[in-house]
Formats: sequence, C-alpha cells, structure tokens
Amino acid sequence: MFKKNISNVKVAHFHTASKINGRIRSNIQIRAPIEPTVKNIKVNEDHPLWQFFHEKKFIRGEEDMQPSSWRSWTVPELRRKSFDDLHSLWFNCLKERNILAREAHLLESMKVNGGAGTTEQTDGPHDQLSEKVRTTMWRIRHVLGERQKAFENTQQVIPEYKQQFLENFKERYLDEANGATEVEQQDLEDQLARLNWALFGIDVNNLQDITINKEFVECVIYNGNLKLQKFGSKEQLDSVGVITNAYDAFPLFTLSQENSDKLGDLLASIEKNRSSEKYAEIMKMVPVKQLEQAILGFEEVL
Amino acid sequence: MVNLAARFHDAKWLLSKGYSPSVYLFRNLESGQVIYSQFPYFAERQIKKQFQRPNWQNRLPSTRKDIWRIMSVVSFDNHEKAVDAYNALVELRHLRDVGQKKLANSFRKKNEDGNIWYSAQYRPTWTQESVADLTTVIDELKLENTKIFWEDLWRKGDDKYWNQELVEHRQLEKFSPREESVVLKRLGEKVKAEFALLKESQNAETLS
Repeated sequence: MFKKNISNVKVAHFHTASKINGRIRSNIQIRAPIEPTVKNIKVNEDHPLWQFFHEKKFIRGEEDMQPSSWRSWTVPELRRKSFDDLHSLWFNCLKERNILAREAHLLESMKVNGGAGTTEQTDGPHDQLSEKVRTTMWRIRHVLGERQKAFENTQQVIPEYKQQFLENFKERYLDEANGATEVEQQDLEDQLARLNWALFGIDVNNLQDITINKEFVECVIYNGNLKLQKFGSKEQLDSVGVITNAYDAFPLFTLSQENSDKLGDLLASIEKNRSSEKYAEIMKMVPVKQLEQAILGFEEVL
Repeated sequence: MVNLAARFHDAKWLLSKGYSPSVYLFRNLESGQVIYSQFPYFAERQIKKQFQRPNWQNRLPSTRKDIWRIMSVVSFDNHEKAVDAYNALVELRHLRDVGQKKLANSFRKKNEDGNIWYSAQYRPTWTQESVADLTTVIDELKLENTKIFWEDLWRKGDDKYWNQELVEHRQLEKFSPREESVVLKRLGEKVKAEFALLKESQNAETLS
C-alpha cells in the first residue's frame, strides 16, 4: 500500500543520479554563479551616508582633485565671520575630510596610483587636500581662541570701566538715533543687544529662560532709561525723571521702534502706579530695595 | 519532537498538513554555503544529503542554528511545483558536486594559488551558485507564478539572469535574526492563504 502511494507521486526530476550512472542522458547543464549587484539596491535621496560622497559621486576624477586650485581660509578672512558661520564652516570641513578619507581608503584598497600616495614618498592629492582642509580647521579654532581670550580680558576690565562703557554707549546711541535711517536704527538696536549680552549677560532676544538677578535688573533699568530718552519728549522726561527701579523700567525696556507710540500710555501708567498704595508697598519690599540700592552702588547691602 | 525537515515530504502530505508551497534557502554566515529545505527550518540529514562530497574548501557545515540565516523563500502556486523545485535544487547540488564537478569548478573565481577564492572561511561562490541553480530550476521546469522573497535583493544578481514572465522578486520585511522563525511562519501563512484563494477560484471555474 505504501509503495503504491509512493509510485503514484509524480515528481519532476533532472535524473542526475541516473545520468551519472549512465542510465539516461540529460541535457541539463549547470550555470555559472550569479554575482550580486548593487543595481538591485535603491538608496534614498536623503540617506545620511550620502554625506560621505561628493555630489553622490562614487569617486571624484582628477579634474575635481587639483590641490593647486584649493586653498585654506586665511585667519583675517575667518576673523570677519560670525560664530554661526565658523560653526557651519567647521562642519563642512569635517565632512570634506570624511569624503577625502573615504576616497583615499577606496583608492588604497584598489591600489590605484599606489593608493592615495601612502605607499609612495610624496603625498597624494587626497592627503594634500585633506591637509589644506585641516589648516582651515585649526585656523577656525585659532580665531575662536582669540575671541575667547578677548572676551575674558574684557570681563576682567568690565567691573572697572562698566559705568564708563555704559555712559559712552548711551551718548553715542542717542546721538546716532537722531535722523537715522531704518537700517541704521536696526544696526543700533543690534549694538544695544550686543552690549546687553556683553555687560549684563542678558540675551534680550530670548527672555524666556532668563534668571532674575542683579544683572537683569541693572539691564532693565539701563535699557528703560535709554528708551525713555530716545523716544520721550522733554516734558515727558521732566515729569518721569530718572527711573531707578525695575518695576517702572520694565514696560519701557520692552519698547521698540515699532511700538514707540505707546510711550505716552506707558508713562501714564507709571505715574498712576506711583500714586497707588500698591506701588508704595512694593517699594517697601526688601528685595526690591536691596536691588535698587545695589544698583546705585551700595554694594555692602548685598 | 520530530524534526520534519529530516525527511522528504511529498506534495500530498504537505497539502494535508497545511504547509505552504514554498522552498526555503538558508545561508551559512561563516562559509556562504546554502541549504534547501521544504520547511522554515532544516535538519542535519539535509546537510548530509546536500553536501555529499565535502572537502577542505567545501566543508560539511555545522548545524549551529545561529550561523544559518534565511537567504530567500521561494513560493509557488501549488505544492507539486514546490516539491519539484526542491528535488531539482538538491539534484543540481549533486550535479555540481559530482556529475559536472569540473565544469562547476571552472566557473569559480580562484585566488593566486588556484584555489577557490576565500576570505577567512567565507567563499562567496557557494551562495552565487545556489542563485544560479534557482534560475535553472525555474527556467527548466517552467515554474510559472513563482515568487521569491529575498532577505536582500542585492543577492538576486542582474535581472538578465531571470525569466521575468515566470518569476517575481520581492523583498522580505526587515527583521531581527531572533524573529526570523516568526517572520517565516507569517510568510508561510500568507502564501498558504493566497494558495487557498487560487484553489477556490479554480474550483469555482471547474464547477461553472
């Protein structure tokens, strides 16, 4: 029964064993091995590893690899660049060195031109270019080092000359604000933002994560007075006087060229606040008093 | 527990036990050798049968499960075709090892010493030969509606080697090695469901 079942099964065979034993002839012939191919692989256009390729080229030709046509950035050129520019330039250099290293490794394994020059006495184009990029990278670090040193030096001088800096800037700011064009106004505002960052450590464009401390209060009062003198009329200045506390200065601190027409309302609210009992209470509060005195120079209180 | 892969099973048995009409190709990660199986797993007996003339270049591979990974799953539209393809693949292996040994060796890439090219224990030719055998089987037996699920489409080689009318290539979903058995099981169920649908439509046609 079992044998019968087996004999009923129809199976297609190549009958290789029979062929070997010479019982039947088969025309079947084995084929050559099939090699895998990269043609079957589809790579996304935004695949992160493309960053290791120059314009998605497997390897660059000689025309793209002329060391004489490449040069490193010079230090004076880099000094003119902002931190963000230097930051992105640094990463571009890093990526370029990665591309060069990949290509050099590839050539080395293919033994083209004796590798990337490593087996010969002289450096190959990849090594020369990589060295030029490396020069740019140490120069970027050098320029950043210069800036850091300048910053540290300034920080040492600031306590001594801070008031002088602030007074000088105030004079220049108010002088130049008169009759300035829109572009010049923006330039002045940028200068003021930099001054706030340098002397008070306050980034006025990002007040979300700020810590309320002595520097912040100082900054608010200085900027409040500056804005008041810039946008206010003589009568307004006389009526309000010099602002000495952050409570009054903060609304003025937020004032800009676009909303300078609100100055009148702000001053009216300051006047109103001053006459209220609440204001007197706030002014009596010890921390405000301490800060106020500290700002005025009575440092022993703090 | 009995390892079903240890014995040959005919189409009727596979159908009655609910197995999918597929042939599984497993690849040895160390040596690049390939074994064919009717099931999503394999047995030592299959290794012995498919490597009848082991030598220092084509060693008898071990049964260690961790160094065998699925290379491709070949699915057909009925169990007879699956059994035919399995038998033919095993026979072609025999032909390479015994019947046309010299011819098979002439195709292989050699190193400076005239031996089969290798890196450590890995000889890529074994995998490439099994792909070539798969094309031979599909072409010679004219196995229509064949679907090959590749672990990596890279391995299938150039399209010119494949008869596009007979075979369709697909990519297996990406999985971690420890999930391999689950993925193969799911794929088997999917192929089985397709097969059942086909059977139903054929029955409906004959009744009408």
